[in-house]
Amino acid sequence: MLSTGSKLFVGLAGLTAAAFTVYGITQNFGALGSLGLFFLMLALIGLATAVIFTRDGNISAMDTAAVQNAPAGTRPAGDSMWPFVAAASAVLLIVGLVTDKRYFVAGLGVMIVAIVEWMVRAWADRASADAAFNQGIRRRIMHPLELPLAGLAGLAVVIYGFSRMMLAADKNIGPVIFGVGAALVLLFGVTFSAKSNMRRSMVVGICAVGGVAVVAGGIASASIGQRDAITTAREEDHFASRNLANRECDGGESEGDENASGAVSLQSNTLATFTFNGTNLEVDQIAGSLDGQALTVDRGNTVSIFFVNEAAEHHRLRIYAGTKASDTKGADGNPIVTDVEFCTRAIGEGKTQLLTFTMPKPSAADPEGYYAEVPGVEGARVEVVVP
Amino acid sequence: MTSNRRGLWSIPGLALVVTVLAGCAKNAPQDTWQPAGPDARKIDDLQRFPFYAAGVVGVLVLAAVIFVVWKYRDRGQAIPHQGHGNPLVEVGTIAFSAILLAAVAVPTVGVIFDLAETDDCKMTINVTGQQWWWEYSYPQQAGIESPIVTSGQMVIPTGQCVLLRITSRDVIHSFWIPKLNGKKDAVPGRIHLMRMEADTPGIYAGQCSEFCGLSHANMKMDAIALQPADFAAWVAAQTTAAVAVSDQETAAGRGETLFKGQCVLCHQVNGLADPDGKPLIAQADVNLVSGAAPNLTHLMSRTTFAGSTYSLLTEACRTKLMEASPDEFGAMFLGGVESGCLNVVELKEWLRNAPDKKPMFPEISKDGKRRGMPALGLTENQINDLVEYLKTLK
Repeated sequence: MLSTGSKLFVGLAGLTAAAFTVYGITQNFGALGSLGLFFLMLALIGLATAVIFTRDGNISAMDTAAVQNAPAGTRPAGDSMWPFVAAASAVLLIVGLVTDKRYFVAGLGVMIVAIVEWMVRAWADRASADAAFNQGIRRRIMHPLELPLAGLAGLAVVIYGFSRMMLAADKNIGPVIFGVGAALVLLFGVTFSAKSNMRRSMVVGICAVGGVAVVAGGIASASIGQRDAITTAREEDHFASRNLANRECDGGESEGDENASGAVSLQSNTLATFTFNGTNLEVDQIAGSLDGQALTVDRGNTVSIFFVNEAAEHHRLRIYAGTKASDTKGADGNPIVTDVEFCTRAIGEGKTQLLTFTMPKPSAADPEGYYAEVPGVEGARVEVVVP
Repeated sequence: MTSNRRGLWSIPGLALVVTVLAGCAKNAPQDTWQPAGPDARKIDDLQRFPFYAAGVVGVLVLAAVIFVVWKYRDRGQAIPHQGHGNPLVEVGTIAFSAILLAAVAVPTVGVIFDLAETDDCKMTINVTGQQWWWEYSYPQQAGIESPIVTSGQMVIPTGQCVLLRITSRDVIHSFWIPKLNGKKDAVPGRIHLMRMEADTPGIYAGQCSEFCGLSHANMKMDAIALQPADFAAWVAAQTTAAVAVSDQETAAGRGETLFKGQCVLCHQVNGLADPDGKPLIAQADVNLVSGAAPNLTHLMSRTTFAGSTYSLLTEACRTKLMEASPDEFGAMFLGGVESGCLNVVELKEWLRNAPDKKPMFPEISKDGKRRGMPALGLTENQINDLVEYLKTLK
């Protein structure tokens, strides 16, 4: 009575029912697992019923005409590349696990695409006995997804390649490259528009040459590296972000933030510039009416400042913002109290450092008051007020 | 025409009439066509020519369309010759449009540069937006010996440029007092500069103009312009600390105790101290997403509360203040919320259940912080005591 395929589902349903009973009794039927097992059991019973009812969907082996004409017996229109892509992505996944998570993420992405494409292709190839119809139905389902995604991917490659070229080029040559590129795009765009009878192969050829040029230029530029000014700025840690704000108070080294584009905006919005000339620490604020005054920083606001060292030796700026009690207790049983402080890296003569920080409490909280100082230099101090 | 079709046409017709009549309002507090300062006037002067020009062009285009539709309507005649393109017309319209845009662009660029000029501003105010109120902080500078923090209402002196340093503590907001200048986005981590100047004393209303969450529509703000002498008096009053209530057995005393135990978890009142004499510091950094709640030290010197959503004054007193002459306005505003003028009803409703008066997200999130004022579960007696204490924060 039970067909071959249905035995699997009947067995699984039975096992799940047993698991549900045992788990439910031991966990008093209150845990989430009981619910999951119950619905899994229902799903398997449903599948088993369907498979028994359709007798595994088998076509009688004696009915040769049905075998030849059934969609399931139709040979696909062509070979599918997706098993190969899926295998390659599996290799990429494994390599990524061992080496770099970026490869893993790329492999995962390709794997998902390959599986979706493979499944849809396999389904469409057997949708009917007409290969042309099958191809058409696959295109109808997948093209609304494939074309925009392929367009986005192509755009991303062009943008990324072009950005590598702009980062590698000298800042004086960059605008020229940009201008020439824009002019070429305009020129070909106007040409394509004006000569509507231009051969399709010619248009495709020109676009392909342009795309290859951008990709090749991007690869070449990436191998050359970014221009010296950016490299130097990164070495000086100009692109530090807030999560690295207080990294240097203990004198340790740290890595700069690689997210330069996000941090560049901070550099154009600094609250003040602290300048140390070897003896005094001075502060210039972005509002002229505040020159010579203490630096006022509002509580809870994330602000950025510059520290410029004009002294011959290496120095750093330290901002003291009171104290805080930690969760851990000291030997005397009281919570350990530490300074709230934000520090730049120690930088050499003529160098500049960006520091981003947030003041948590008003300066009235500390009897000493808040201040910015150059550690080790007496008198190099500016009052910081948090109202 | 049947009555049904007439009814159908009457809806857009009525909407048109209402729209046109709305433009006649004379007391619209956020009317960009009634500038009250030199910066807003520059914008107003700039927008009038394009507005009128666009109006004329719009009328001409509409008339041309109506003429063509009517004259060449289908009367069963043969379809005329179908031409494609007319170089003279195309070049002519492009050239005309380009000249018109250039005529608009030249003064626009000039005004943009004028409004970006800040060197002549004698005073600086930090403006910080957060969900869903505005904080104004006056740094230590000439004429302001110690910093001032207030909220909802920004007080400025008349006749001089004030430089605003605008930022945000959470999401993007936009600061806009239509009668005094244009809009400027408040972006976390960035400081945007804007100049502001008012000609005469008065209240200038504004509204956050960048959608910022649940209570965006309730995120209002006022600019209060005072004559320089009045402004100096306001500064002097604001730089003093709150005076502790002397008798703890009074309603105000009980309210102060309640404030110290509960409200100070978020709100700062300068001058409050614990029994050891140490300043009581609000724990807003621990309890709130934005890290700050309105400083209430001089609450009763303002005329609004809850992010300027509600008036601290009764309707009659507010109307009296709004209609005060420029000469009288300063003294009336500096008088604060006088006895009998306090909008007790809405203040108590706010203390009873704040999220009911202004939609917020006061539930504690995963990081243990709130976004707005929660319902405090106070008894009516506690609310009465708290109101009596708040009255002392002049």
